Amino acid sequence: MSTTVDPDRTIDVVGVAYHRPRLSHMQKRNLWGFLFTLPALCFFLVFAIIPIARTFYLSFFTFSVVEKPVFAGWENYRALLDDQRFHASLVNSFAYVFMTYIPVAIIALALALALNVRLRAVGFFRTLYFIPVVMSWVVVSAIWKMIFNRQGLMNAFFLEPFGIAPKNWLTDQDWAPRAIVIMSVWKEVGFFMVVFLAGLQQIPSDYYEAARVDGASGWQLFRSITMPLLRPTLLFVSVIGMITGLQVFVPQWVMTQGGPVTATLVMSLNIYQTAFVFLKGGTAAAMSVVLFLIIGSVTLVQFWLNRLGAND
Amino acid sequence: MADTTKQAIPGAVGPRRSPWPRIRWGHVLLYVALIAFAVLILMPFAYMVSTAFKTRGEVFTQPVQWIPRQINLDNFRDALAAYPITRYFWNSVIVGVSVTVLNLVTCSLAGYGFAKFPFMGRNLLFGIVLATMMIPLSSMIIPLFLVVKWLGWVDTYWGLIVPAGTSAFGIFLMRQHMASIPDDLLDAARLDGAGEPRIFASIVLPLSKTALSSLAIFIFMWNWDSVLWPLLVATGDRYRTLPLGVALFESSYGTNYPQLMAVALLAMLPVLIVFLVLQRNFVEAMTLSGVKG
Amino acid sequence: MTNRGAGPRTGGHRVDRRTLAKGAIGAAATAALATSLPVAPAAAQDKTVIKFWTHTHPPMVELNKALVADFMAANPDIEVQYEIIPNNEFATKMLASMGTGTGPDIINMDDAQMRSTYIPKGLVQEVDPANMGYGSLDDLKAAYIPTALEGSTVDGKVYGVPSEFNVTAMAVNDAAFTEVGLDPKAPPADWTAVTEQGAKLVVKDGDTFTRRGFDFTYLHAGWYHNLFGTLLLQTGGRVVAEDGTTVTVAEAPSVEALHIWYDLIWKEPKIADPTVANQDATVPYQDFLDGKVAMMPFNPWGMGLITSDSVVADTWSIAPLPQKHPGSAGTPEATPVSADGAGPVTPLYAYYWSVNALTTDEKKKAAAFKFIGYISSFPGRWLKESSFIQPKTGWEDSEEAKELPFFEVWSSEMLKGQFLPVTPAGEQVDTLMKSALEQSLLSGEDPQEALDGVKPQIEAAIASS
Repeated sequence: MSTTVDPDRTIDVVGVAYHRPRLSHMQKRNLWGFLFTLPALCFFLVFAIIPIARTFYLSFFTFSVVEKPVFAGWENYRALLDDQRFHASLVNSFAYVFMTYIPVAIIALALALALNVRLRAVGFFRTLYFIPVVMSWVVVSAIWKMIFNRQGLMNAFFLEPFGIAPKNWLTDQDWAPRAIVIMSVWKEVGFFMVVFLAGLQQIPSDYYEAARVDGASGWQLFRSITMPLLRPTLLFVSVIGMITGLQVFVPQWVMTQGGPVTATLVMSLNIYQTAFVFLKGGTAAAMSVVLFLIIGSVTLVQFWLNRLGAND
Repeated sequence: MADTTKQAIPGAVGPRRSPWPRIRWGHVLLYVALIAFAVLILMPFAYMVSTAFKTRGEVFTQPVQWIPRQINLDNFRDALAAYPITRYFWNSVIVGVSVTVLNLVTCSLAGYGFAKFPFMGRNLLFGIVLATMMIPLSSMIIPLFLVVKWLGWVDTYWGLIVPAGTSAFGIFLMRQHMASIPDDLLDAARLDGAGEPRIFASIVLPLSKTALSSLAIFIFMWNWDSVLWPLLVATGDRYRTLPLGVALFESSYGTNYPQLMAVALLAMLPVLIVFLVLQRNFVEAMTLSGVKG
Repeated sequence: MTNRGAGPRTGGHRVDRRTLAKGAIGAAATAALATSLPVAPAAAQDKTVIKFWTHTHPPMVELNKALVADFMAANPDIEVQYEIIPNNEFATKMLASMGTGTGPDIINMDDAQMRSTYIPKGLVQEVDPANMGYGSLDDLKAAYIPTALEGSTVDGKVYGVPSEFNVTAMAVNDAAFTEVGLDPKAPPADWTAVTEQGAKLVVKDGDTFTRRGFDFTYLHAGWYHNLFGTLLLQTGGRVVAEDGTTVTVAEAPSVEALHIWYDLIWKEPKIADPTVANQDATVPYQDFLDGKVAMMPFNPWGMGLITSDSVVADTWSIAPLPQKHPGSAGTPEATPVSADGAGPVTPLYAYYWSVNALTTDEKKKAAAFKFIGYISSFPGRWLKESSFIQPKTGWEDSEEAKELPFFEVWSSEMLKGQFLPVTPAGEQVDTLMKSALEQSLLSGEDPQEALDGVKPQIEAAIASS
């Protein structure tokens, strides 16, 4: 019989051995933390992780909604190299992101700066500009389809009265993407304006006071105080803009179905059409994986660039 | 030495140069610009509203007619008669409210867990959660549909509500906000002997009111707009949601723009109202939650 | 326990929020549960429940609803759940549902999809003549005109019966004709005449067409498939040869077909213009209805869309489709002519009622076929109420047929009719063709170049299918 005393074992009066509770307070607390995240994690597991994993898995197969999977190795990925529609969709998605979110950011920042001056009706304007954001894409697309109709508002109000020839917005290969960009800028500006406002309002006004005392001009204030302190906000804006923009789907689906030809075919829409119209589920799955990798890398690059910039 | 010019107005308090209020010209310009922009922003909206009250012939006129010849309620009446729009509306409300409530619960709990508890694997799990934001729905919709089918939830409210029960953005938002809750508060409560759930309910949640409001708006708004998922899950009028109703309307009466606009107007009112009611909280939340990244 | 949290924010809100949340969840859950309970009572009453889905075409939908009601009244043990699916997403929703086993028992699908996808992928089952009310398969076949079942027959097996049967003729705006001094009873019979007469019918406002002489529709891939297919039939061209692998889209006959269309837009006198054409697939013939185009290819069901509100309300007529080789004027050919351009030929297309291959439960299967047998037995009503032709043997002799506007034209055009060939990887090829056609028709690219460009893409699509 051992004579050493195991500090973790104690024998009580009745002779039954039990272990002192092994969890410290910290660990117990962390367990609670984990438990708090559990409901959400369960949802994710069942309704996100499993379907996503299955999609990634199926990217190595040939299948469709109406066919059983047949193993295909890297074939789907290899085929993407020659797929013209895929290339077009890549270009279109990035074009959409830059053509939409750069103007959005600039306009949103300008509006936020304007509203930050603490005018009386700030709340009113803020709410007003945010209204397009809360309208659903389906409704917005219906309205703008009318606006971009050959006899619609855009031509009748903004172009013809000024002698500019009316455009066939949604049937022209050059103008259809621009039409959707205009609509998207209109819809997104309000959201980013509020984001910038939040960021601006966190900059202590003392900084501005101090700099003004030193004789700094408006522009200098902007460049040396506002911009650097807005860095986290700018990062947020560019990351969200990139992630949302690269996945955009409803506007193109409702307005132009990716046309004319492939002018407005963006990646999500292409994935959808490839899976549901062409019945090539494997190819669509492969495109999904590629899209995910693209978004992931772009996001990482943005964080890295941000860190670089923050070091000066 | 008193500057007598400054005291030209009897009863005036303090130094004044003139009887007129100082016009900040900079501000005036700003107002003009803001109003101009507001007009631009509201124009499509106005176009929609005005078209909803027109007759078909009045729609595409040159020059643009902003005020219809007469306020025509026929479009609303006919649209409501053509399809059970009210049914679709209630479906959207039921689904929207349920999804929002589910999200408020799961995201606030998870946000708190991720923010304040450095448990093992936390960062990895959080990273995975965020990564799911990078996959569009169209990519995973069929496997997701199969999961829902296996659960027997096709063409039911469950199928429309539960898969949307949580969101990565929501967790991100709540985590950001809750990270800024002072630890001392929580530790003090712990010292008092409060259990973790109690602390969450009585301290954390009340402090997160504004973040919860903003989350509620976002989730309700996104869910209201959802069209691809309900298209697959719901068939027929029973569970059809409003965007699908608008799409159905476009399918059958496509070029009847006045009626289509009437339906669209009805479809957007609820979200607009929810937003207007909660918007003060929402903007505070954006300010407080700190988009610090 | 004494720590109530920091400051005024916590006062009184704690209970409110949680109770509110709980209450909301409870209410929502109860509502959801209460209303999501399946149609259990019906099953409990021993009713056979079958599901029937169609796309959205208001005249057809109304008649479907009426027939469903009548059928259920006559068959109290069967319940038919009828749903309409928005047109834009019809194909997607159907395929996704069929493929995941959540589709309806009775489907209503067009012949192109039937022959290219639904039948080959085993999504629909062979017809069951007995339950449909026929003695045998031969009896069923005899009940329809010879070409009627071609669109749903593969390898001699029949998978559905037609819900509508369409041939393409031409709609003519009589008022426009008389206005410019042309005789609406003598519309153009060939494409040269189309250009001549079309040029006189054109009305322009500056550079913009307010009325085009003749135009096609510019809608989704299926429309391009049908319209371009029409021209291909006339010139003897094909996108893919009969062997299923040789791509002949850039050969002379195919290019000639595209030129017929292209020249109307880009060669003087220009009488067509896609840029002003209606883009709404829901009302494809809107431009004709609005008087914006004087002549247009037209289907029988289009007549049901003309209302008293239409600009053409009382001044329209139907004429034979313009042909490359018109054949002897006024004499309808007795039999369809082969598609080698030697004579007039028109395209046929049809929608079919079929039963889901997964409907194997004997009761449901019997009920489904019984229903199809029922709704296909009212050709008169279909004609009258939705201008849908049900090509049953002897349909020309019915009262309603005689009342069908321009009945003689429709029936003589049908005699020259042929279904379009099925291409492998049909959907993909259709989409590629739409792009190529748009490149040429909308943007002006030379037809030969456009078709040369799409040829390798089609070859790749077929190879990988």
